[in-house]
Amino acid sequence: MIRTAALVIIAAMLPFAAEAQQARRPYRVGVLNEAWAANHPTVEGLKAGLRELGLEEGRDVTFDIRFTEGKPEATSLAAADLARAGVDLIFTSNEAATLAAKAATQRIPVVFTLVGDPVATGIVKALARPEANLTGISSLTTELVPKRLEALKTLIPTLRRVFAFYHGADVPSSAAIVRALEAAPRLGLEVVPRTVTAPEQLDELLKQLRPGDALLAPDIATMDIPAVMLEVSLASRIPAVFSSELWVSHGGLVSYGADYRAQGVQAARLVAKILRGTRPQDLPVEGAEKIDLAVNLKTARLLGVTVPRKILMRADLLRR
Amino acid sequence: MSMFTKAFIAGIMAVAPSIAIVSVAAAQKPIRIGATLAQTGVYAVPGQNQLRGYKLCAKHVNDKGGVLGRKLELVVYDDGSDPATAVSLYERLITQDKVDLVLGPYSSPISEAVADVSEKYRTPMVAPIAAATSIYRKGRKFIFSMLPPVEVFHEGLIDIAVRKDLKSVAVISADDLSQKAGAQGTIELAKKKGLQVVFVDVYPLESTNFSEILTKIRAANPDVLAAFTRFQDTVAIIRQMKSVSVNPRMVGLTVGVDTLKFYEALGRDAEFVYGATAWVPELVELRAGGLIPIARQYPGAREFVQSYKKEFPGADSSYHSAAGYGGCEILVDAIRRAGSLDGDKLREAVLRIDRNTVFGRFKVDPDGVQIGHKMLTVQWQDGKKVIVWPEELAPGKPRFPTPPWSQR
Repeated sequence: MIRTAALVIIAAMLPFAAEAQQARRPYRVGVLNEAWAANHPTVEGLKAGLRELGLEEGRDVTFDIRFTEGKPEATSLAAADLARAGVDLIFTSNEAATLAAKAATQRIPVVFTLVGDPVATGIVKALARPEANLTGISSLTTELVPKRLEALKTLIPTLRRVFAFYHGADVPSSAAIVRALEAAPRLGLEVVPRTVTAPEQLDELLKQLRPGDALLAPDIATMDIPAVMLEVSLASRIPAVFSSELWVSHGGLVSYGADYRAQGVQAARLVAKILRGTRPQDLPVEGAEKIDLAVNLKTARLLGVTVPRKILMRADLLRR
Repeated sequence: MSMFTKAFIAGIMAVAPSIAIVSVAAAQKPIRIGATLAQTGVYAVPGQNQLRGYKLCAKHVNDKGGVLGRKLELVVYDDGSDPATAVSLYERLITQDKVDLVLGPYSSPISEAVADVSEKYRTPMVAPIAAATSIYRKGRKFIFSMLPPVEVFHEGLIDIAVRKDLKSVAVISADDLSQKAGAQGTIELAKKKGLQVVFVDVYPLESTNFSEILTKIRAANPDVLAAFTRFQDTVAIIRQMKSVSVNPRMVGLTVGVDTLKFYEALGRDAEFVYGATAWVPELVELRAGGLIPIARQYPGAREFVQSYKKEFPGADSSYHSAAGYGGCEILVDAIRRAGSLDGDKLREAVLRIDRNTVFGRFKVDPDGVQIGHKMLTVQWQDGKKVIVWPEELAPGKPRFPTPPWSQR
């Protein structure tokens, strides 16, 4: 039994050993996201994951990282740039970046992360068999929206109204809003969706908030909407629920959703397989493996929220 | 010349009240805050920076009408970087000048010495730059640290080394209270993380020639050199590492690496050097994970950077400046909370504070040890000081390994 396992491991290592002997050039991985710096957690996760799989940065793989500071037009341009630069693979985070990469190339493999519903957004035709040059990790963020609202309501039982701001052209957030509206009556909530197309508009919309309201933050950083929501939440003491733990570790009250970095680590396996020669269309889209409920107890105190025992027991991560 | 005639009053009332705001504040006597700071001697550069922080804070507080309806007035002497002088001067500030309150001097050794004075007169002392934990663990009740314990200053350096699979470390320090404590903390941290400590030494304070200790380090051949240095040592050590050809794969020092002066003095030889710092102005632009702006953790820092440049054109600045400003903010906040200048009430107020200043988070344990503030690791890369740790905040990656001098 042990011998069989050892053989399997050796067999799995063979392709890399063969490559090493050929002393091929390092693989060039293009990275595209809407962050404000090169250290988006999915990229950190990708690098760590590849390292674990024996692909060292510099020696085996180089990264051409394009981050577009939440500007939709810049994302399309950067995608086209990466395609022209002839990278071996494009690694994307979120729908906007993935759709931009899809529009830029039908040839270069694309591995995505932070995509809430890859089929609904037209990124792939089917999860099991993507049938194109794209595969990746579904963050499941869309279908987790009702759970997210439920966590907020459990934290604040008196909550009645939740504002959801999202970028006008942000299709996945619209899909998430539909789920939120469906779930709202069951939770005794009113969900108020508002689309934003310019930063000034967001300022205007924020004036509609009243004490007792809460915020549902989108998972997409376009126009910096989640960061603005976090700022408003802390400055005006309005509870807000986010899609991932990173926000809670920086003051967000609560989050329920897939961990950004873990999605990068998970996607590294797909990236390594594709670099070794597997076709993306033969690799099914995977659901995010690490989904956490995170609560910031310090923010809860600031907002005057008493965290119920139920949440304390259920939470995967508590920030103190 | 007596030490008192050598001393000078560096700043009195940062701003005179304008006629428009003549009010209760102008009518009342100012709150006089005494301090000594090294304006000469070995600590002059960081000491002057810390004083600029005090001055700017006092100006801003006064511009907004002061505290408890009273303006702030700073009474500052030069302690010449000497603990004994500082002790006499704090005695003088409290008993002869009859200042209402005090702020800390620069450095652990001087703070350690003067802490007995503030303790004797039961007047709280916020110490912006005094990171040796031992100062606070002697049962003193009236001294509070802005800096995290010196023992964790090189945590980033060690953490990066471990992630790069390095195996051995040499730890050296200046023979002073804080630097020695830092070295001891680093040795323990390195061992805990599985690194082998292959060389440990302490060099005398007056050292300018480091060739002997560096030759020993070369023989020990560590992967990492972690040095706890004073400002003037940092430049000399790097210069002499080059001449003696000491080539660890990572080298980190403490005081001074984060200043522009360090790069100006060394030029390209500053490349690849890591430094521990408690604050850099770039923090206000940083985003955690490339997404979340962290400026709110440093409220007022943007304005601080701008007005510092305006108020002190061309002057040096470093984390000591921000720590000085932040320390003054904490004292003012405590006065507001206590509604009084009473030492015991102020002490209670400081112990209850959990807030962020220009300098970052402030929260102390019951002994006054800072537990809220986080350190950063920077590295010089192409003439720029790049934050490389903690990973979450670091927009840049460490340039690794440091190439041997012969290949630069």
